[in-house]
Amino acid sequence: MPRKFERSMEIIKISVAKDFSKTPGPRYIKEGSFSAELFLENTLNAQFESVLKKDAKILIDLDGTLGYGTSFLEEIFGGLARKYGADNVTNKIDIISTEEPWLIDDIKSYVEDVKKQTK
Amino acid sequence: MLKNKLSSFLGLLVAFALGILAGFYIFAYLFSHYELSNIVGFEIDPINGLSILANVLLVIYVTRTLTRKNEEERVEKDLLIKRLDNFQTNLGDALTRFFATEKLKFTDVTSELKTLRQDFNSIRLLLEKYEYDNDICTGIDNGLRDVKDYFTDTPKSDGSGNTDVQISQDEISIGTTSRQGIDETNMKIKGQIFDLVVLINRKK
Repeated sequence: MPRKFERSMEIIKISVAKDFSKTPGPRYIKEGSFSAELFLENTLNAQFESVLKKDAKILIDLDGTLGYGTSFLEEIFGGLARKYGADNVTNKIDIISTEEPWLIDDIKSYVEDVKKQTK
Repeated sequence: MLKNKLSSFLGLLVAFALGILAGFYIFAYLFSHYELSNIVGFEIDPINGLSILANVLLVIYVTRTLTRKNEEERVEKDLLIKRLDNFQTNLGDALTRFFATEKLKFTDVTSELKTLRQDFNSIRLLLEKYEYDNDICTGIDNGLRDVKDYFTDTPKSDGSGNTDVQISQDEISIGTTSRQGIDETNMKIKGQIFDLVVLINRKK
């Protein structure tokens, strides 16, 4: 009987607090330090493009920061949805947020808004 | 004249005293069927005695148990109400401080609002445990999210979104519309907290 080999999906873990900043800032670089635009340019865009090409996912850990502004999260997740498609963001990104579990629903609504706008 | 008044007063007094004596006599000696015996009997039925003792112990047990339960419930209610009061005060103080700060730092706002929302959600978990209205809690949580949006949801590069809030060099400046929105949301949250306190006090 032939043996089945199951390939486990690659998970790329990104912690905002450890890999970017404990004090995430506003939406754009021009507005202030540690912006969502900077996070996308330095870290997330490249990682997201790489997971789109293979059987992989990004696990974003939101814990450990001092808190998020609405525009930071909207620009990251809504911004990715605008650039790469809402379904790709939903399928390729998982989120950990134990300190603020309500952020996961907020993020889903940002991605859904983009999906509605692009229809 | 004075003599006449005095004599009629004395006459009334004597008539009153005679009336009391006559009444006492009639009641005590003519109509009373009770007689006092010189011997007093004292008997105890053991079954009745045990029954009385059991009743007394039952009354003490029930009273003490119910009182203790009521006290415990009151303490729990008071603790929940105190936590809600503290949360409301902290939210009000934070908003007053934000409005009074000339150079309002973005991270100060996000960290303070994170702490407040975490505080409320820990209260919410307690309220859910004691089965208080979850819809009111959802309303308060949405209000806190709205407050954060008013302060930190800056417009996108295409100009869409809330243009009444601007961030420059990590400092927030908000316009009158956003400020009004924050005040209204805060008032709404106060009303919802009041509703919760009423519910807590009414719950049996």
